[in-house]
Amino acid sequence: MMLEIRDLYAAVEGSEILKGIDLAVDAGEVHAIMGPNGSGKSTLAQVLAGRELFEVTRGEVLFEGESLLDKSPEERAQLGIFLAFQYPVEIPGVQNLYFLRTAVNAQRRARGEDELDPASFMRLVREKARLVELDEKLLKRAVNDGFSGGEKKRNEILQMAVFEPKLCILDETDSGLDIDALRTVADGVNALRSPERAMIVVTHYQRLLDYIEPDRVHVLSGGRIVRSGGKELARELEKTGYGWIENRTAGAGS
Amino acid sequence: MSDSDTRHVEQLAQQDYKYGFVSDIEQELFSPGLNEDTVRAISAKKGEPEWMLEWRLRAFRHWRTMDEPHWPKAHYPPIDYQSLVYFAAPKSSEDRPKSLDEVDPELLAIYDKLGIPLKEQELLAGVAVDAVLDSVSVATTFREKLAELGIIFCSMSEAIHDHPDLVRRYLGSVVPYTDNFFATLNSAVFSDGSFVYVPKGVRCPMELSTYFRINAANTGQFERTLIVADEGAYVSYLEGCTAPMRDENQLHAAVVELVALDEATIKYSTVQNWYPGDAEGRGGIYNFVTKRGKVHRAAKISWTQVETGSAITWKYPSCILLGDDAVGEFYSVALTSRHQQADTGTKMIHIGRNTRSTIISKGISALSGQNTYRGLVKIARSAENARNFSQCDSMLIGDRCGAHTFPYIDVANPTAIVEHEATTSKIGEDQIFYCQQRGIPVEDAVSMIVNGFCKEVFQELPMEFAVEAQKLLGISLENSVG
Amino acid sequence: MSAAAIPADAVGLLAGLVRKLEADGPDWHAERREQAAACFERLGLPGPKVEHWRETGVSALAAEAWTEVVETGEDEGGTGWGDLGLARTAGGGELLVADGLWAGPLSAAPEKVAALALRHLGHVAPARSEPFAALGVAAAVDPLIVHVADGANPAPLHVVRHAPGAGEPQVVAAHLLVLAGRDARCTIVETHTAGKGAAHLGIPVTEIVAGHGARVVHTSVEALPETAFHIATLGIEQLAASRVVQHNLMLGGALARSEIHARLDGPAADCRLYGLLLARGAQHLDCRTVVDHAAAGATSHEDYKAILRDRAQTVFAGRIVVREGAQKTDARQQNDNLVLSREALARTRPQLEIYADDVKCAHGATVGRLDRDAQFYLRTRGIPLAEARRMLIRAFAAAVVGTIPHGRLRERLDAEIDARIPGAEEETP
Repeated sequence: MMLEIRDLYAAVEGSEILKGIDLAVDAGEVHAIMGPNGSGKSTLAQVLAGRELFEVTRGEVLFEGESLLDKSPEERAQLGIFLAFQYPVEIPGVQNLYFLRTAVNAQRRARGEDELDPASFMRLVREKARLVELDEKLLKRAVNDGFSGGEKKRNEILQMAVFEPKLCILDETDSGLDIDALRTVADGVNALRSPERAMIVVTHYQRLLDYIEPDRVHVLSGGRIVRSGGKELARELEKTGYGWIENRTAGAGS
Repeated sequence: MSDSDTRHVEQLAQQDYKYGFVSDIEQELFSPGLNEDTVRAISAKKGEPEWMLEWRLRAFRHWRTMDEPHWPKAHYPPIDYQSLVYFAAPKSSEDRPKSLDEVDPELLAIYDKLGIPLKEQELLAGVAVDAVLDSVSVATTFREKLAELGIIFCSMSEAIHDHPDLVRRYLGSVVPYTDNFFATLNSAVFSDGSFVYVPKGVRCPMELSTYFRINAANTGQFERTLIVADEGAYVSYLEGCTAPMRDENQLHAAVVELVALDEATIKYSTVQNWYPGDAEGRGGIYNFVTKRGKVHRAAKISWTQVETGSAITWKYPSCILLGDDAVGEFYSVALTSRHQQADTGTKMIHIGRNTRSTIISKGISALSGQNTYRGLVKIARSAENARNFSQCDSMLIGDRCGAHTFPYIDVANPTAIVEHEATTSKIGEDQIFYCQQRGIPVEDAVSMIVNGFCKEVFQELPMEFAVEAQKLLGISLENSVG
Repeated sequence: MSAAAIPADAVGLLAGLVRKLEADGPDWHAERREQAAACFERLGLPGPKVEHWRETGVSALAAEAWTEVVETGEDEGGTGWGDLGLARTAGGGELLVADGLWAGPLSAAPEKVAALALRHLGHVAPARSEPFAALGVAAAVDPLIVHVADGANPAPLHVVRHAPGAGEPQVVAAHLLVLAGRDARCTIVETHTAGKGAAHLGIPVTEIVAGHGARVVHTSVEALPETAFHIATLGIEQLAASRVVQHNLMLGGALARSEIHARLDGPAADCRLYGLLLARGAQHLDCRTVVDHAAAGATSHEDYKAILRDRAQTVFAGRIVVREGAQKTDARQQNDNLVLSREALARTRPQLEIYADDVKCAHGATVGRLDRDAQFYLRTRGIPLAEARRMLIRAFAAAVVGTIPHGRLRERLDAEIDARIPGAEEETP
């Protein structure tokens, strides 16, 4: 099993957001995490990436059999965990290309590999930029600085393509994208699907799942997975919405 | 900053100043103390002509009538001017070497340690270097090659002997000996420094560079630099400085005068890395420097500085934009960490018509560092269509530091357009997390973000210096950042 | 202003005049006035070496033979500034009680109001460090207190400050304390005017305490004759979640200066300061602000505009202090100066002093003339030059004028702006 989450509880400033998540994801699988706003989807994504804002109060997370929770965010990245941010961060003055190279080489060093020489690095980035249809001009600009919503998301997928991580976590990658941009981003993600790689796609809407077909769908509500199923579950949710869940959890609480 | 980041900072702050070695070379030192005899002795030691001694004495007499200034944002114990040594020279320079082969190997070793191998510089890089140890210039490289173009690049002492007309004409013409407490003291006791003259229409083919080092204990360093670019000339000059680690404070009170005649250009770049004192704020250099340029018609003076050292820095490289179409620029990165205090900025005095000035200042404060930008933009009544743009950005790292911005803007000509902007930011936790998530360790992330913040200034530095400046900033940040 | 030495006896003269006044109020107030007088004597008049007085010399007012201290009256003396369509008061024995509002002199204040006054009067304004604030507190025999009860929302109040002027040079005192209770709302206009002719030194002190969640809008208009001296002090203290909006409109005086000190003492306090300086002739107008972020999470926003013509001079000095621990502060300041003549002198000194790291602070300052391209563009569309200038100058001032909630005052201000626009025949630079 690539990723195993067991009875995971996490809190921010004392208020509990994740309340016992169990999830297992194996290599080659694509899992979709769906759920209403505030259900804890993004929190789960950030906790997996090691955001210190969230305090894990219970449970464990194993990545390839090793505990993740005591590792720093960069160690997790170096192990091959990639988070595509819902809101990619702007870093004025730091060139995108420079940022990418620094990150690639930091990851390679951590894995005991040689750094990429500038020419191979440029070839790699050019090839991947074509894949995600990212204008090469954006490589010369500062990281996400002044990028449009679509450009930011494409930049995230470019990084994913360049790093070739083992586990990709896509946090609401579809938010703020028009249909064409969504398709390009999804094509980029699909091109990265492989038997060695796992993906967790966090989304509110079925829409993205029309393009990235999941193997498993989980519905998160109130910090717990309340239902799991095959890809048909996503379509069902599209029809019924999330109302039934709220009723159900309300009922369960009483 | 999260707690772990802060801890990280504190850890890194333990790292030491890497230029803090003391070199054991034979020194000739004057006894401490300052009176007319000291001034006469310095002048005699250097075999100066009468006019030079007279000028020094006038300055000294004026200095005795002055009060030491105290600035609201700089805090330091009083300086005892009588306990300082006003002249220190390596013994071996008694008979100044004719070529580098004759230079004391100990001296060359010092500059090697500093990463400025004088010999290699001469052989490999296209940079001419004047090295100043304590009070005197110890070596100037490449001078024959420059002389072919009529460019004079030598120590100030030599210039007084060999080019008295030029020195008499321009020395004190930008910073008069009455200017301010520290500049007046410098005028009385200056020991050496660099002199540059670039003749009409000549473009200096290489970067000229001076490396200053304070080595002797309890010594004030008072160097004096004068650069004259004649009509249509161009010169780019670099200045670097380091000092050993000592518990007591040392005073550095330099004066730099630049004269850009019609259509000339002078680029003056400084990477200042004097010893900042230890983590408790003991020791370090007091860097009280007067730097000013006169900019004639269609000429340009551009100051670029990266200030990472000194316990206290007080420095306002300025431009008097005298001629029509004159241009003044100031690009600055000042980093204060531990207990450092920096009060720096510029003065742009617009007098000529269509004069333009640009000010880009980046202040970074970490740990208990206090960083003040203080600047004046003055548009005189005569300065028709003058323009100024100023941008002063501060970055704060940690919650014990301070960032202060005090621009003074006086506009007496309505055709002028003056714009000033200032912002303050911190390194966002989200920025660090984003980098970390991409596998970049915290300290690299911080250094990357800070370098991005300073980019507009680093772009102005000559290539060799830009690389050094980035490294220096990295080192200083390791000393302080989280 | 010349930097000539201040006559040594000016301080003694002014302190003596203040001490001669007969008290009407409670004993504690007489004591507080005496402390302020002593403070004034200790501080003396600021010379040119005092950093924040460097641009504004007071030697001319110190040389005047001041004869007495008077308080302002409610009759606005036909200046036209009294008629803004608002309920009026001037203190001086007049009481106004309505909708949770009590406005009247300290000597007549009910026990509860007097107790609050005891706590705040003379303590909100910087009367210990600023000489004219000290003199102002010492000179006001019976300050006007405006108290708005918790949750009350009374109609706007107009405080008319008029000094008719005698033949002799007079010092004019006016002390106002505004106490806005929890969640109270309060809108106050203060106008300062005087009869033409005689020498006049206005030293008004206004203090505003905004309670938890209170909303206070204070608009001050200084429209003195261009012979008067006027050095006004405004102190603001804001508790959590309060909002104070202040407009400082400086139109008259030979030498006029406003010192505004706002202290943001509670989280989510919101302070918005606006100002308009209209300077002409040989006027010297000086506006200083200190916004002190003493609590975390407070917001301040400053926008000051100056329009200068003739030989006029203006100074804007705005200081933002963010104290240690005042994280999440959001402080912004903008100062723009429009210079309409060759002889005018505009000075701006924005200042940031920051001791906390997680803050957003920014200031901006500009000095320039009317946009030539815009004037040309308007004229090619058939708009005459004078009208084009009027449009552009009003547009420049609109960012401040537009925030004033009183229609009549806005109209009046627009007229004042128009009166200062150089005619089409006049050459602007």
